[in-house]
Amino acid sequence: MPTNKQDKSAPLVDFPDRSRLRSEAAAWVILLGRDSVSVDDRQNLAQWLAQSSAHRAAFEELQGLDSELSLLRDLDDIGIAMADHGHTKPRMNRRRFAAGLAAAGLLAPLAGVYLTRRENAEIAEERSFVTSVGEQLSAGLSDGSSIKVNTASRVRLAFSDDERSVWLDAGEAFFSVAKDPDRPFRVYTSGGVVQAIGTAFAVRVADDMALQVSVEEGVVALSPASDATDVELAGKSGATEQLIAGQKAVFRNELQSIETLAMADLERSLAWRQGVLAYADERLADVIDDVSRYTEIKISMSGRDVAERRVAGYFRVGEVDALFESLQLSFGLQVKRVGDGYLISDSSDAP
Amino acid sequence: MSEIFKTFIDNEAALKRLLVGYTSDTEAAEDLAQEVFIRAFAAERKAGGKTGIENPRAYLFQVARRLAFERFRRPGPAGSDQGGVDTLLDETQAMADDWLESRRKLALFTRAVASLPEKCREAFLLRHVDGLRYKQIANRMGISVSAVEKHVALGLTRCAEFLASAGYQQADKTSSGDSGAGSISSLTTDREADADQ
Repeated sequence: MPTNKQDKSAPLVDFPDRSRLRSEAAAWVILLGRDSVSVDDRQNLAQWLAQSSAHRAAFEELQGLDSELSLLRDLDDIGIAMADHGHTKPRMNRRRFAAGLAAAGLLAPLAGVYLTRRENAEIAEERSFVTSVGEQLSAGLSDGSSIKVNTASRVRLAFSDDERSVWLDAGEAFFSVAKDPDRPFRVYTSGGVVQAIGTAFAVRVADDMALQVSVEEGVVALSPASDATDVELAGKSGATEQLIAGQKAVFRNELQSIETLAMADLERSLAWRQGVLAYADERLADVIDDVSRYTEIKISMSGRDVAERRVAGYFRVGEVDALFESLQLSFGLQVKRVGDGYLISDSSDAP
Repeated sequence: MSEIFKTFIDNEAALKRLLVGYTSDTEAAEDLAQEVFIRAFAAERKAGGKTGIENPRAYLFQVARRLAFERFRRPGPAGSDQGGVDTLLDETQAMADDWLESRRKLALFTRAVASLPEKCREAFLLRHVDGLRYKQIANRMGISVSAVEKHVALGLTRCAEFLASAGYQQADKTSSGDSGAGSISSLTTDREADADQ
């Protein structure tokens, strides 16, 4: 193992450095926004990130900001509203200003969107989201929560006056839940029920119907599906497990496993929200399993040795080519087309 | 710098005085002033840039008065809203605060964008408002893809600087980075070690 003295401990950075790191990090974030990213670029990025924790922090900052810039999308609706005159109806009682803006449809066309949603919400907002393999989507919900739906998933939701119910029938979704003490937010799955307690978390239904929950913020309560009709009851009977931020659990009507992850590891496992798959020292077999969730392409491995290889990498969702390329170039493996899929083998086995 | 942004900055103090006059509340006036800017900038963009709004100064005051008037017309304590859309809304205070928070961020981002040189601003907005890809932006603007990437990167950096100077901390992110001994980066070493074998 090579040691690298300046790594990991590089703590404080002078301002000029910070500003330089920021522009360099911005350039990387922009590069990742390309339609396809070359293996060289990816490796250079990994090297850049490896320089210090300050590099990684700058990259995370800019990447987070890049996704926050989606706020700017509102400008389009606001512009239309302004061009369309006479519709602005702000009602601004200081603290209620915010709700007021959203409510009174300060922005009339936005109000169009809002109204449709609101009318539904009065009775029960009902929506469903379906993604095909390799597809992801995100949406804002009428209660102020937001949802990101990962590949090959099906999510249905019904919001009523007393509960915000979500059914995760298949796949994976990340929920960032707005606080509303009067209307609990519950995600129902075949393996159990997840109740949010002011929080942000991901839920995945695995093929064996086990439920995987990763909590990014706040607390969630897990309870068995059999008691799904009454989570409170389950809570009283003691069947409920609580998970806090940074924890990841597998649950199938009872707790199967629980681990507490470093925030960086948790974020990496949630990188799909940014359309990225990131792996750190993981078995190739696990990586291929995960990648396969995002593509119709069938990938197999020639043997145990190959499956057990530890790999690391950073790919955009759906870029199987890039994965293959990197396996060949950096890991000395061979990727061949076999039948309707691809076979990864050790090139030293090759005739 | 965008025409409307320049006009806004030149008249910001006067606009705020006007709004404080209407609201008797400096915090509300500040938020309203930012709202005036967001809307005027959005309107300018929709109208196709600087030629779109004939008299930017008059326009800003007109928007400000309209916002203040609407607020004035609907007084009453929080939660006393009646009828129409309002009854459908039952936002908690927390949500209202979240909304306000994201609106303040939008105002900051909009300022950062408005301060960019024209070409750069255009590329950045096509990316983040219209969601176009670099190649599409390049075609639309008749410039190279690498020029688009440079523009968009500058915009991103500018937004980061505006956020930082407005006191938004990235402290927790930084610390998570520190603890991230297992993050992608350290693997490179493993990976290279692997490859070297």
